[in-house]
Amino acid sequence: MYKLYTGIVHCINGNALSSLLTKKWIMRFNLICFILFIALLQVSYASRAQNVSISKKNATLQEIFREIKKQAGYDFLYSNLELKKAGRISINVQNQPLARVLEDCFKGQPFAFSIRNKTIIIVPSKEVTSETGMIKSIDIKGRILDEREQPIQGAVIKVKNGKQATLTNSKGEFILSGLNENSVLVISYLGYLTREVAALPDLGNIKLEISNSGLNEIRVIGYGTTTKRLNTGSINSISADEIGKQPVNSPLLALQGNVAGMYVTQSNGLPGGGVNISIRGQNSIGARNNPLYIIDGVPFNAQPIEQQSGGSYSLGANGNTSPFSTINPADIESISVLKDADATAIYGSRAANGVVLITTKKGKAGKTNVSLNFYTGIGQPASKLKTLSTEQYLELRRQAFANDNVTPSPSNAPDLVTWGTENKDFQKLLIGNTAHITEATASISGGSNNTTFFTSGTYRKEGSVFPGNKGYERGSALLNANHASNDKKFTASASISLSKDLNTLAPSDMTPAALTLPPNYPLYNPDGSLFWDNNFSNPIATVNNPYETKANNILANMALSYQLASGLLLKTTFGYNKLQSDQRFAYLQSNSGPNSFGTVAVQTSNFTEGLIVEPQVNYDKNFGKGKLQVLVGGTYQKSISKTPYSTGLTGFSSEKLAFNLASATTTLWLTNSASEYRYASVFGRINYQLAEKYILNISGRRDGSSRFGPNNKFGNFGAIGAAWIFSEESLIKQSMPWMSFGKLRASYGTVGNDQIADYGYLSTYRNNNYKYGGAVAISPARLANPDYSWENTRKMEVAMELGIAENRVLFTATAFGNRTNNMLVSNPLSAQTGFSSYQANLPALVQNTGLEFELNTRNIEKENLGWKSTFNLTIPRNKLTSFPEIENSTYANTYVVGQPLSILNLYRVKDIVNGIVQIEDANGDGVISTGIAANGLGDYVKVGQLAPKMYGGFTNNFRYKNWQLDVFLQFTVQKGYSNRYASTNPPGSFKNQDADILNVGLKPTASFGTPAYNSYLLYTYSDRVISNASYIRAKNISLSYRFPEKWTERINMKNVNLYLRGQNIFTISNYQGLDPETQQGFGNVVPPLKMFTVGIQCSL
Amino acid sequence: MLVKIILPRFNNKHRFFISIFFMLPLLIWMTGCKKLVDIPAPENQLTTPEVFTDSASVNSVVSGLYSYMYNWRSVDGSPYKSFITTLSSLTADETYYFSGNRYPQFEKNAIPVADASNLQLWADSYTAIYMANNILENINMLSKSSQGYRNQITGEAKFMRALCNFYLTNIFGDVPIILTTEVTTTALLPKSTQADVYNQIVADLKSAQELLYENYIGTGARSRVNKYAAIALLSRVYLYMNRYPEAEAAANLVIGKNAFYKLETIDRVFLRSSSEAIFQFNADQNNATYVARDFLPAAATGMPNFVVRDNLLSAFELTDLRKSNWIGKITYAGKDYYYPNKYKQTGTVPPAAANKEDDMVLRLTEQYLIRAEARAQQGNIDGAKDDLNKIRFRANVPDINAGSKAQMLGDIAHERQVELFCEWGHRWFDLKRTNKATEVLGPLKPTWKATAVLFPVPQQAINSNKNLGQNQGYN
Repeated sequence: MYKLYTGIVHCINGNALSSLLTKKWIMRFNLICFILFIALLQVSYASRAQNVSISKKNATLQEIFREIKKQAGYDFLYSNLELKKAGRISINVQNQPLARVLEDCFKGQPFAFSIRNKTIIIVPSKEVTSETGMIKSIDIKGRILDEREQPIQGAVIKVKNGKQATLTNSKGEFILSGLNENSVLVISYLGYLTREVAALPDLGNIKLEISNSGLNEIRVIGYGTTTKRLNTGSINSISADEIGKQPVNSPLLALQGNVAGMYVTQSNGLPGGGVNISIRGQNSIGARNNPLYIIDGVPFNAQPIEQQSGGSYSLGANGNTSPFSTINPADIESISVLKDADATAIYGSRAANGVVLITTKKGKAGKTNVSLNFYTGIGQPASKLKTLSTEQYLELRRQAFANDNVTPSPSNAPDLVTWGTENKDFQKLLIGNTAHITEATASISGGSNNTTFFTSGTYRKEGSVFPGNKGYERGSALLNANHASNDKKFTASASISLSKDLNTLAPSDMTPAALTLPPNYPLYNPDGSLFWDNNFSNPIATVNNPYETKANNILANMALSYQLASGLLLKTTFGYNKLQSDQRFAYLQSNSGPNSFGTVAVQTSNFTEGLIVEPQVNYDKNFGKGKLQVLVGGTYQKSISKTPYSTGLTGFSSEKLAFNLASATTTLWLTNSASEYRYASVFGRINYQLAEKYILNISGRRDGSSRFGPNNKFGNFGAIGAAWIFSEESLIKQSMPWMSFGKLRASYGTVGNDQIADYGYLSTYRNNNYKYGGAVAISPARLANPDYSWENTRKMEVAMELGIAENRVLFTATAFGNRTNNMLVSNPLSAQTGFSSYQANLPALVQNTGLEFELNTRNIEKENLGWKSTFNLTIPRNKLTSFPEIENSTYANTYVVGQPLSILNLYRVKDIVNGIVQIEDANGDGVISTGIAANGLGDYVKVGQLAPKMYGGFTNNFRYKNWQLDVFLQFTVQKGYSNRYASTNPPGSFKNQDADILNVGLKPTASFGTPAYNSYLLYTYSDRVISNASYIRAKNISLSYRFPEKWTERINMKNVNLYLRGQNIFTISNYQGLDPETQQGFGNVVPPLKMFTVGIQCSL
Repeated sequence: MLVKIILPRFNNKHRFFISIFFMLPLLIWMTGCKKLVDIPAPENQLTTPEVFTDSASVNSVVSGLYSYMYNWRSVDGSPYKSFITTLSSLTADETYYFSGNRYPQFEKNAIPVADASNLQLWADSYTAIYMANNILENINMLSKSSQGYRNQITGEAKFMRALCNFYLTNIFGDVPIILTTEVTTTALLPKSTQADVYNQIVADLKSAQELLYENYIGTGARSRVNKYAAIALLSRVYLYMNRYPEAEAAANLVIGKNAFYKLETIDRVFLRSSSEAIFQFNADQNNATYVARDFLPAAATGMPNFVVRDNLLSAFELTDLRKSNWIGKITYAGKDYYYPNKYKQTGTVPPAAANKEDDMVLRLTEQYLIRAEARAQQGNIDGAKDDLNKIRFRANVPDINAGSKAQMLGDIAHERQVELFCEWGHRWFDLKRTNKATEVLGPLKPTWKATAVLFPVPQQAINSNKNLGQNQGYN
């Protein structure tokens, strides 16, 4: 490839690097730019008579040029490669005109020259049409723009079948001189389709189109962007298009099954519920395993809204409210998931569990675009558990009482004696109602070349499957504006997003009641009032209690950048985030059981506020075939979490005044709390690309965090990544023409994790909620440990990326290995110490390895018919590699060395004889006892692992004329706890349960302490309660129809789409429980909803 | 020339921005990273040195210990709130839970190792011990206050450590003795024998006896322990250890302090103003005691909670005021049920009310019963009879006239059953220490096993400390 060079750039750079921040350098640098600028533009040819004297023997042309430059101050533009063909010359001239000297030099050489202003351009002579050195052929100029009509800098313009070439300048402009009138220009730029144009003196604006092969799509990475082709790390990207197809509440749910190496489950099917994410397995035993979330450069606290600070709170029916439910998926342009060391090390200490970068939508220059989207739909639990019918249940109860030799009485068995035989389907009554969902979004975007904007507003209302009008509402708005100065050197962008959500779900999930209430439980008395007894809380009362959590989220960021010189960009970003939540709920006297002590109301307010400033310096420079990008930056981050108040009140004159603070006669507690977190870093990255074939990327970060003790506040992290695009090698190109793209990449580095509580090194005291005898009471808040330090993860990755048949088939295979040591654990302590845990480092080593495969194919690409497929598969493996003295540690009964962290240690059932469970005596000591046999402690053996053994997704997109059908399947191979794990309700007890229990052959019992009961307790901690929880789920099926343009034009619309979408349409699974995705060891939750929505999207 | 080319390219606006860009990172680097990541201590929390150099804060820490033990949990009982009383009334022969779905594991003496309530008994006691140890380790920082005050605080901490150890060893048998807050020392400590635990309790109480003020301090009536509280608990511990002369001597000291302590009439025993009280947990300023909330039936449905068993009911003699005053009756679904009714108040009660109840931990009557038993064991039958008849007289039952030591001990055991029923585990512990548990409970409970005299060590505690063996009969 050709590049234009000026000799002086090399020599001045030598000085420049040595005095990096001096004004002198800035000035000189600008001079270079200025000269380059002039040279490239070839403003006008104005030769001035100037004489030179040169005396050289057997010199190279370069040596002559250097001499001329020294004497006359002229610059030379030439191709390095071509000049090597020049022969050596001897010359001896005294005070001769420059042009004459040059003519002498070029005599017999395969070159010609032309003088433009103070620049001498050297070109191969066969292109020269005139007889003399003065060229009289056409010069061509033009300007290259991208799809947004923004100039493209660095686009390559080559003469087809010729050797001349040039690059565009920062305004997108280029000039090629001395071309044959019949030449064809080939214009190429990474990420865009290559274009050919016939040569004309003025080509005007030439627009390039984005390439769709996927290889050249822009990928957002830490503090920058790259492309799939050129990146050296492991990055997956999800576009607005893919997010938009799913009618989900949280953007994180749209990632489910879409990203290899990222395991996503929703914790329940209620709106606002949590989303569990694990990127490449569980690294940490004790610290949180959340990835680092960054929204438009602002770190986002992933802690559930209610728990961000402290105070007393109710988790609510949805477990806890994910803060991501305050982020509107419709406002998201893309989500990047960074996985390996190369991609994440720039985030240093927070990147051990991967990084999720969320970028919101921006405006595009051009006509103002108005877009509207509206959908509405219904949802029902995607799965149901078959429980005992009243007949089966009562029969089991009778057997149990007979077995126990106990006579049923109103006291011990009201269900048998007084409740009757009605058969109620509590799953239908309590969690089987239809949830209605509606969402409307309007957005406007547009702008001029210098200023663009995007603004949108969304309202969403989502009901629940509970009885009553319980649900969730969200309103959100986004405003994003970008501005660039006329010379494009200064840019400013700002975005602000606001969202407000209201969660009025019940204070607790109805599902446990739905599954365990005896099927003949009378919800109401004959007079219509709520039925109460001592055994069960009436679920209708629970759901009737007032509950609301309001959250406000403000995310604002601003970025200012200034291009100080060519290739040198200064940038500072500022970010602000405030997430406020106010929760209030009450247990009203009228909804409480007979043992109530009156209405109790709880009100809690808390917020998290964060501020971040990140100054950065970017430097881009091309050297020959090489391209260097350097980034240096700093971070200062501060965040405060506060609970201004949290209070529990009782003694209300009327329960209607439960939320009137003043009407309570008794304050059960009134507390506040606060914590602070500060974080400062310097980071840097050097990226070097050679000939677009060899890429080296080095990044590092030094982090300081307030979460660590005074002596261990700082940590260093870094990574190195390299890629080789071997398909660019001519050998491969010739021998394997079918291979359109081939890349090998590898990376290695260390990253950290500081997801632990604040102040762990301080021994502090907090207020007890309750006073004693009227005196203020305080108590130790934690066990202090001043010595703990950073958790460290070493990540390694090797990947191969292949494109076949013009990239219609793209395949990526990745092998990764992560090792985490110096575990930061909330070290569980035996309760005898007075605390259940303390913060400490463990010398354990955890290893996560795995294989990831991604396959993208464009199977059919015709005008009226298209079919694309995307498939990804992850095979993870987790292992506790070493743990010195585990048998003496507090983890002796939790983990086994050589086994995954999610190991299931349980009894193994030998047989069930006469309804009594026979447990295998694994350690052969004659008694059955708890404890892990492998650690020499008891009879628990490994019966499996909880983490999935394999998971992935399979998407097919079909297009036929104006119809589009997308089918997205998600699958997981795993084991899970069945519904019976840790249950204390044997068959025959006073609780309903899954109907399959009848087939197990256990002896029914209703009494504690009977042999059947004891044997059942062993059974509930045995391999028999582990179920195959593998499943395939039709996560999303979407059918849309785009109205033909001739119709839409008539109503002045750009396009109109009608769509029908289904979420969680069907599930194939043998899971013994409610739902394989939300399966839980203890208790049950509302399963993910099967949703159908219909909507319309149009833009004008 | 260069300058001429470049300077016009920067106007003032540009220079301003350029300086901002450079100033920010410079500022960060100049101020030094260490300071950047220093944070102030949390505004709503105090650090150990702050707390222990200020007597008001120390007072709050001591209140914190009492409050932790008695007030901490908002929903369910913790041991010192009501669990010791309620759960042991189930494991003994005092009550059963109506419609048996709550606490059946206790009622049937078949407690699973993973039981949450059982864990609470264990863990909350040790948390209180941690808090006491923390006070003991740091109290000397409080150089500004008088030696007397520091002694009082030290004495209170030692008393609470002894009280917790007393209940731990009586519920679980052999238990670890924790004397420091240093977790690297305490985390993996094995159990000590019950004899060693008792020795530790005695040492703590003897020391507390020396250190504590005679007078009560604090705003509640008798809600902070004094010298006599330590002696009263010591006399109980000596009795349990069969060290009868010492038990008698200690009880003598308390009973002799008649300026403080007098027997009340039956209806006034559990009031805040009771002069029988040696130590009461101060129930919330204007709330009822937790034990009352647990024991009393719900007014709304009239459904009983804890129901008094027939064998306790039939233990009362005909004229016994304690039965008529301390046992309540409720009719539900046409049937009569009896419930413990020593405490009568539920809901809110004005703190100044004359009849306000507090939770009685130590009271004078028990001292008479201890002295009676100690005297009987030493052969002083007449002395024992005197003490016993004082209690019986108050309850309006005729004097006893036992002749033999064995008869006398039987009468005392009976008297303890009807006087101290449903109160801090007395009955459960008496059955155990006199080796009567299997004899009494065996016929009553089909699920009874001799090993049920000890509750299981919570599985969670064992999971984190493999040196803790499980108690016999559990797995």
